[in-house]
Amino acid sequence: MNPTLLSPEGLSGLVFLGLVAVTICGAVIATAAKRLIRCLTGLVACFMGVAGLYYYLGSPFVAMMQLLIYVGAIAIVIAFGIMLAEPDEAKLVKKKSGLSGVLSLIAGSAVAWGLAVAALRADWMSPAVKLNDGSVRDVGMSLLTTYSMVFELVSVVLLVAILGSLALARTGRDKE
Amino acid sequence: MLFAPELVLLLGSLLLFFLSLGESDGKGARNVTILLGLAGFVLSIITLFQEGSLFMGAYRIDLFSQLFKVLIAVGMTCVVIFDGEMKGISARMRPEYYLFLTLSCMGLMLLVSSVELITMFVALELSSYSLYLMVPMRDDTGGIRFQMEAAIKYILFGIIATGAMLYGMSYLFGLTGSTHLEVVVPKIIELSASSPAAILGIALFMFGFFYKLAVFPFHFWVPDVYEGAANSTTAFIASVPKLGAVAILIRLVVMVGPTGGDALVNLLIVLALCSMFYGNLSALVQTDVKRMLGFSGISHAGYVLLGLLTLKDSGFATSIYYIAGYLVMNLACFLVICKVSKNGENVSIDDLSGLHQRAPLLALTLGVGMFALAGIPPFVGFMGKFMLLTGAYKAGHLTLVILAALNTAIAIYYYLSVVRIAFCNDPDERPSVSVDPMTKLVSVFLMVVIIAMGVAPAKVLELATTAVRSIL
Amino acid sequence: MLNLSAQLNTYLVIGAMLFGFGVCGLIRRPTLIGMLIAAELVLCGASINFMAFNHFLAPDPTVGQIMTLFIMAIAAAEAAIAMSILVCIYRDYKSIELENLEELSG
Repeated sequence: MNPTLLSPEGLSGLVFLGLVAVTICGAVIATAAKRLIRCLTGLVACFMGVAGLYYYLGSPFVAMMQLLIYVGAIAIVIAFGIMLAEPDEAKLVKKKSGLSGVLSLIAGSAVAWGLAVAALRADWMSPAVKLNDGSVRDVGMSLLTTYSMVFELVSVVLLVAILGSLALARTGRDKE
Repeated sequence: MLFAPELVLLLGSLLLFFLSLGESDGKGARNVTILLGLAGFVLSIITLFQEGSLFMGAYRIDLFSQLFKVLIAVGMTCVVIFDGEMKGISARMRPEYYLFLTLSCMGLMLLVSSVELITMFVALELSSYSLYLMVPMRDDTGGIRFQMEAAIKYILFGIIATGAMLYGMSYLFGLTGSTHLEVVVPKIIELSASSPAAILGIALFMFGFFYKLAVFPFHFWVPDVYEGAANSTTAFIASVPKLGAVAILIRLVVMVGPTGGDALVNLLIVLALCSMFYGNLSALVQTDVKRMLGFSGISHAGYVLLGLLTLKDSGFATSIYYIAGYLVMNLACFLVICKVSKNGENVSIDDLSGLHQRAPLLALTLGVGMFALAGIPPFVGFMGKFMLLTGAYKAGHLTLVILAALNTAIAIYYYLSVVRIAFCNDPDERPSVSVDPMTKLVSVFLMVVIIAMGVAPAKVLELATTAVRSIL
Repeated sequence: MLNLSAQLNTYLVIGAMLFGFGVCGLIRRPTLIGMLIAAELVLCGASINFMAFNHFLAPDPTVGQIMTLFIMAIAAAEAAIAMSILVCIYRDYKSIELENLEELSG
């Protein structure tokens, strides 16, 4: 049953393990690192690993989008934020006691363990016959038919985000 | 025609957007928003008894959704009217402020009508993001700085709540393979008795809306945001989004079916009790009126859960009745706060001293609002609490009913002490408060609704019951 | 070990772990940006679940992809809003510090 290490399946399995390792290590760094910029690097690694997982889940398109949006846009925005706000970090660190570290570890692992156990024990629906092969073309068709409303709606959400960011940032200029 | 209320708000927000491009002091934007609110109200009333399905089954118009749209429009119009001088909103951002307020209402209207998980999620985020952005728009010329901190806390915890909600949605998707509620609900009802994953999914899904409703462990944002946001923004956040949350919670609770889901009922009982005790006990020691109302809002959220956990359509109808009542009671109290606050600063309970001499109508409004929140007959709060408690008693939750009744007693103390200060203390050279005619109209309207709903609840309850049956 | 990529459970466990890391980070981090990073992990965990169910179970394999795309859009919007508020906070704190400096020198 198990493919041998050097067969194509074996190699792809090996790559998959590597991606999982990157994802998990990235997440560990993102939560545990002391300096914010290292957290961000961890987050980027994690997102790249997840993009690889999406590839294995049969959707290169979403994998590409994951890289473009998360790594390309969100991580850059956060990086700018860190550059602006990092001086404050040292002060804030003193406020939180060591207790929160232990507490967070317990809470985080309890949540992860609970969800994982629930997921493993659950009786998910039986695999259905696929209606289409989930290609980019099918995604586009769905977006313009079944999900046409939400497709329009998300543009309003993005407009709100842009306008809001501009409106908030503008006050600073007026103050001077 | 079916889509008319949302369409009007959408076109109106486009108009507001163009207004925000030019130089403006916000008066025009405010008038447009009032008209939009009234138009939304009228159109929701016209479409109240219509039914239909739009956008490939992602969007459903029925009595349930239209009833909530009427309430959302009422809340929106009242908030905009009684914030006459736009005190406390940064002058430069007033047109944008009204744009976001309108879009937030539109998001909520879309939310109560959507019957598809992805649409629900995006509509919720539309309304939430507009709210997140309204909080930091408070005027900071008076040196008020904590609105930014409040806003960032609101948004960060909001994302976590959204994350939990999405995780719950993914479980429902994994169990049913669809995101359309018409497919999901029957399958989950079937599974809920046997599958813990279904219950976990529904519970996680609910967390997103518990956050909006400010139920106990999801309430962290309440004191900060209530204190940090401008008075009228708080009035909006405290009342209108809770309508959307209750609407979706009812849609979710329906999924466990009439019998399955003991675990979920137990969870709701614990959350309801914690919310009531935490909210009421914290409210006892507050000196800021907005913070007090914030904590009391947590306890009222607990009462709303009492209706949901009966898992009966009568219970859901009572929840709708109660949240509608809470909307008007809460707006009545916030109307007074907005007017008493001179330049948009926060109001402490002592600032209300001698209000009966400084502004008799406001004092009366405050009295009616506080009495109603405390649950004293003949106001709507009493009828709501009474019916919720009898409903829970009939469903066999005796201990819960006793503890909830105990909470009502605690709550009476702090509500009445506010009324006592307003009516029995001397003004001590505090200036009189001027009230514009439009606000007078709103306050009379709110008082009439509070009393009418309390004296004759049958009609409203009947409407709510029909509405709930239409989604079962 | 090597055919893990063809099993639904692998992805579900990774999703749960990312969610757990997010919760852990949210409690642990003292800074707002740190909390924002943790929040992104939580959203990512949910996305993985959707993609996994989409690939292995769902009859229409576009639904999960669309959901994931929308989660990304929403996450991007949220990062923009949160960052603009953070910039405002930073501006306020900076001005507070400047005031203090003036008091000290004067």
